[in-house]
Amino acid sequence: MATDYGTDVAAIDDLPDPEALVSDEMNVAYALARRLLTPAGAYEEIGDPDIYDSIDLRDYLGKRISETARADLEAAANRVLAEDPRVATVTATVTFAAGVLSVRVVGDGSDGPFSFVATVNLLTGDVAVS
Amino acid sequence: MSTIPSLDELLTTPDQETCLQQEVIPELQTRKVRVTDWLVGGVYRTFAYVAAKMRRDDRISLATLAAAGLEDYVFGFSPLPSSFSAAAGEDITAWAPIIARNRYGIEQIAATFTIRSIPLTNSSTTVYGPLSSGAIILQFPSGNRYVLDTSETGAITIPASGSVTARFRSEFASNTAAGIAYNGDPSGATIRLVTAHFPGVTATNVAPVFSPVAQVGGGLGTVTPSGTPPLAHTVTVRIVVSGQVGAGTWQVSLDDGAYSVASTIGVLANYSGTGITITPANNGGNPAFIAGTTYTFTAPGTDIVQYGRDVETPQQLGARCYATRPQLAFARDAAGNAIWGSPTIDAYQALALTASTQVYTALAQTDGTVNNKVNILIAAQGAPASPALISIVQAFLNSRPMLTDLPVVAAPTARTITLGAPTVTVKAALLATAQAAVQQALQNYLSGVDADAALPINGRVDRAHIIGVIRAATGVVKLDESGVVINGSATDLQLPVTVGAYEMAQWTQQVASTFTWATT
Repeated sequence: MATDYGTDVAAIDDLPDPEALVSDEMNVAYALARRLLTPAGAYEEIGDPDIYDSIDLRDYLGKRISETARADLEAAANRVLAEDPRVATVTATVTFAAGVLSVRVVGDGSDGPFSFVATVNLLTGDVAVS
Repeated sequence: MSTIPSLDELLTTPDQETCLQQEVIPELQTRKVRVTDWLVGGVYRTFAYVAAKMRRDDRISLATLAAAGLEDYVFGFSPLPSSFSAAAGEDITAWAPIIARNRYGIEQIAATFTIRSIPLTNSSTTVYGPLSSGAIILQFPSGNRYVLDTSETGAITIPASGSVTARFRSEFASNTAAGIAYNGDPSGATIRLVTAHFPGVTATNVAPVFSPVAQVGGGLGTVTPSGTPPLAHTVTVRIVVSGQVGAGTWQVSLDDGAYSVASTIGVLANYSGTGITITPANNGGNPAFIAGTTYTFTAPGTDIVQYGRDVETPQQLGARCYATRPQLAFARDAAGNAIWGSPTIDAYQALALTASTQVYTALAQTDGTVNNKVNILIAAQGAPASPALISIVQAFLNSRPMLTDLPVVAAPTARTITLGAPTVTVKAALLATAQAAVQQALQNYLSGVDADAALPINGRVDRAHIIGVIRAATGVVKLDESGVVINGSATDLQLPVTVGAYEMAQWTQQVASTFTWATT
């Protein structure tokens, strides 16, 4: 089934220059990645009335990631990703190696399957989605 | 909004949703945004909300700037238009001090502390001291606390088996709206020492028999009252012909009445049957007494050295600012030079309010009998002005050329207000709360510090407002209005009661015992 998750700016933590758009599966990937990189309550602060659960992986910048913390983070990631109205099922797996926190996401949604990997370098703060 | 917005448009502060729907989204549609993802968290949706929020913030700033140029809004004389959303928390009157300073050169009068002179008596054989500010805290029956203040006197020492009189400053500056008021604490109160480091020390604030004598004018001569007057009196002595004791002449005014026939300066024993003896002394001066100088004192005095007051409200500040306007229009002589003119009535009031921060309210009126006399009545917050305060304001006015005007500063007479005993029905669990709320609200109104209803000198005691504040008190569910009588009448009470007098309301009842309380 063809996917149609709409079109938005290809932005995670900054705006692309020049402007670039993403559509379909990559758009939902970027949207879900932003849920992992947005402080809780950020949208409430700008007056958006809709509920938006999110976490910010950058909160772990410079911190040790114990197994307990990793498991908690994985549970939180699964919880906030499942809040997206486009998501039917989703599984997020969190790994930490060489200073890079990776979240591998596989799921299915209203307009088809999707998968992506979001990474945060906990030493430099660099983020990426692939 | 048109290219050049109207004042109505400038004073309109739309909410964020209105900005979003009526301004931001139409602009995005006009520019044919290519995104289709408008779920929460979407980049463009976030853009839109941020833009709407910034737009709203800007509209509030614009509206505030526009309103700040209209002083009736700034000083709270006119309510802001409904389009200027109060829900956003804008309070344009917060700009009043800035506008007053920059446009009129007038500073807002800050809240001040009440300062009392209280003797400390030590029955022990231990000497305490030296003691500096803050070393002793006293508490009055009202719960009000006062802190030892040695900033002007230097450290004090309480001698063994002796006493010392010290200045105590109220714990906080006056803020009646928040229930912080100190001027009403009576003399002769049972005072408790909060600080427990001074066994054997007690404090009492018995009012002195006489107030300090306030002198307005020059001369080294002194006037000293003595005796034990059974009734309260105000006495003013005015020097008519300069000279020494036994040579010059003076007159006496009792209770703000007409001056007596001039007589040679000398001891006045039991003056006019009041029990007050007035004793003059040359004090090394020659001539000791100077024509025109007045000496004023009251019996009894008070332990209050300085009456505290609330911060000047935007309305009060605005009235002082507006009163300066006529002063800007100087008359000019034939050469075109500006010449000083006598102040207007408003300006006299503004001058009186500026002379001392203790002056909370002022009323200026031309005298009904003497052509050039201007009566200026002043009062502290909730209390008539003391002789010392009157002398300060009189000296302030005397130091300025008033041309043909003769400003005379005096204190209004306190008119005791007695309320009847209405039946107030309250929720049983809130009886004490309701009684305290009614007491506070009535005290605020009848002492002239109710922000919603001013009660100036010679004002009208508004029965409807009294009913209103009782009804509005927390826990009150019903009020028998017929029981609300003011000095025996179920109508407003216009002051002064005594024709031709200047009166201010004074109320000392306790509603918990005066009113009839029913619970439900």
